[in-house]
Amino acid sequence: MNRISRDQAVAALVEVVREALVQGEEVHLPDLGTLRVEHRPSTTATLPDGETVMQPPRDEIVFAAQS
Amino acid sequence: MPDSLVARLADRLDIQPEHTDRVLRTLAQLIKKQSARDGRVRVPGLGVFQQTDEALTFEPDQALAAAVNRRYAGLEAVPLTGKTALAVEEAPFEEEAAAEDAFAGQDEADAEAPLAEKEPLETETALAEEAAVEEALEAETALAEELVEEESLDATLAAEDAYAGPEAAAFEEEETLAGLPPYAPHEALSALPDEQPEAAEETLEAEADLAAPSTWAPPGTRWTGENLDELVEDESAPEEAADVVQEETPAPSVPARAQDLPPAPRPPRMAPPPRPQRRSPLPWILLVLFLGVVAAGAYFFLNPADQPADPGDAPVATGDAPPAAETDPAATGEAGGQSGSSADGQADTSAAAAQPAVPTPAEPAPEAPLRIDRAKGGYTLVVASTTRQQAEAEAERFRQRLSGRSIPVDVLQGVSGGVTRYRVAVGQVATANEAVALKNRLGAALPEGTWVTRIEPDS
Repeated sequence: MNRISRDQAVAALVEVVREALVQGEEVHLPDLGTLRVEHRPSTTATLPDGETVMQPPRDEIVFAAQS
Repeated sequence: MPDSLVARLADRLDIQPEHTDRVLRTLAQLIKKQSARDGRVRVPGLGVFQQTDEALTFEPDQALAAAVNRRYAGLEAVPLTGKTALAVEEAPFEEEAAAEDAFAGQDEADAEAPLAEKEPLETETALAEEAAVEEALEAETALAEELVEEESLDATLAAEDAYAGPEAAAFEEEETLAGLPPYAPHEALSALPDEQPEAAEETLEAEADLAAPSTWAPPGTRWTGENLDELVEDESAPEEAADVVQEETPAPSVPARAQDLPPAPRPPRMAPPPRPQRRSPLPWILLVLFLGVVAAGAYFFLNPADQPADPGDAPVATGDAPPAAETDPAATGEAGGQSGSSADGQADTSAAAAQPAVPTPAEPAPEAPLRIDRAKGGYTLVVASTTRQQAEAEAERFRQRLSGRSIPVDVLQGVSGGVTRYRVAVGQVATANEAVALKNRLGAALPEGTWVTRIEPDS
C-alpha cells in the first residue's frame, strides 16, 4: 500500500477533475457537490452606451453544491 | 460519474477504491470546514470554494476555466449596431478595431484581463488563507486524528490498517497539511504549467505553420500579394483551364501527354493498328521486325522530347507546366505499368492502347471551393476554433455540408493572447446584422456555438 500525502491526493484529484471536465464529463465530489460544463450560446447584449454587441459563446464550469 | 472519479483517482494514486473514497471525503470535510470558518478556501488548479449564507459556491481556477473553454478561447464580442457595423465598401477597420478594443476592455473582464488583475488577489487571498490556516492547525489536526482513530479502530481489515497508518503519519508528519497549507501561492503556480504547455504547443504549431506557409492554404484569396497562397491559386487555376481544354478536345490531349512521357506513347500509338492486321499473315519474325522498326521510328520521332533522362523528365515537366502537375502522376503511373508489361509481351500493347483514353474522361477536377475574400472584409460566421489541421478538416466538412449553396468556407487565422487561432469561417457578408441573419438562415447546418466575427485583412 502506498503512502498518500495530502499533496499527492489533491494533485491527483485536480488532474482527474480537470481531465473529466475538459472532456465534458460531469464530476461528482463526494460531500461537496457536482461539477459540470455548460455551454452558453452567443447572445446579444446592449452596452450602457447603447451599442449592441454579440457576446461570443463559451463553455463554463458550473458547480452545484450537495444539499 | 462518482464511481468513475473514484476509480480514476484510485488508479492515479495506486490505492484501493474504498480508500480513495475515504480520501475524497476527508478532503471534502476539510474544504467544507475551512470554507465555513474562513469564508473561502482555494484549491490550486481547481478553484475557490466559498461558503455563503445560502450554500457552498465554487469559482474555477483560471487555467481550468480556460482549458474547459478552449473551443472558444480568444473570442471577442462583436459590435452589431451603429457606426461599428460598417459596410464592406467603407471598411475603416481601424475604427471598428478601436471600438471593439474599447469594448473588450470593459466587457471581457472574465476573459483575459483578469489574468493580470486577479492573480495578485488570489495570491493575497492565499496568503491570508495560509495565515488563517495556520491558526486553525490544531483544530484541523484534531479532525485528522479523529479520522485516523476511526480507521485505527477498524482493525478488521489489515489493508485499512496499512492505509490508516501511512495516512495518519502523513497527516501528523505534515502538521500544516491539516489546514490545507499546501494550497499556498507557490503551489498555485504549479497548476499553471499544465496549461502553459498547451499554449506553448499551439504557439509552436502556429510558428511552424508560419514557417511553412505553403501548407497553409487560403488559396482562394484574390487579394494576393501578401502571402504564398497566391501561388496555390495560380496553380489551381491553370489546372482547371487545362482540364477544360482536355475535355473539349480529347484527341489532342493524348499526343500532348505522350510527348511528355516517353514510355507511354509508344504502345498506344503504334501497336494497336498494326497488330491485328499483320499478325495473322506474317510469321513471328516479321512481326518482331516490324514492331522493332515501328518502335525505332516512334523513338526517333519523339526523340527531342525524350532526350532528357527519364528521371529528370517529370520534374521538368512539372516545373514548366503547373497544370500538368496533376495529370503527370497519373500518366506516369500508366506509363510505368505499360513499360513493365510491354517488356513481357506484345499482347499488352493492345490493352495499353485502350488505357490512355480512360483518364481523359476522369480528368474533370472538382471545382475550387469558395473562399473568403479577406481584402473585402465584412463579417463571417465562425463555427470552430481549433488547431490548423483540425480546422482544415472541419472546413472541408462544412464545405460538403453546405455544398450547392454558394457559401464560402475558409479557415481564418488570428492571434489572441499571443496564441494563433484557426477558425473555420462560413459565409461572408457586409454587416454583422447580415451575419446574424445568415446564421439564422442556415440554422441546423451550423453548430450550436456558431458566432459572428469580423474578417480581418490579415486573417
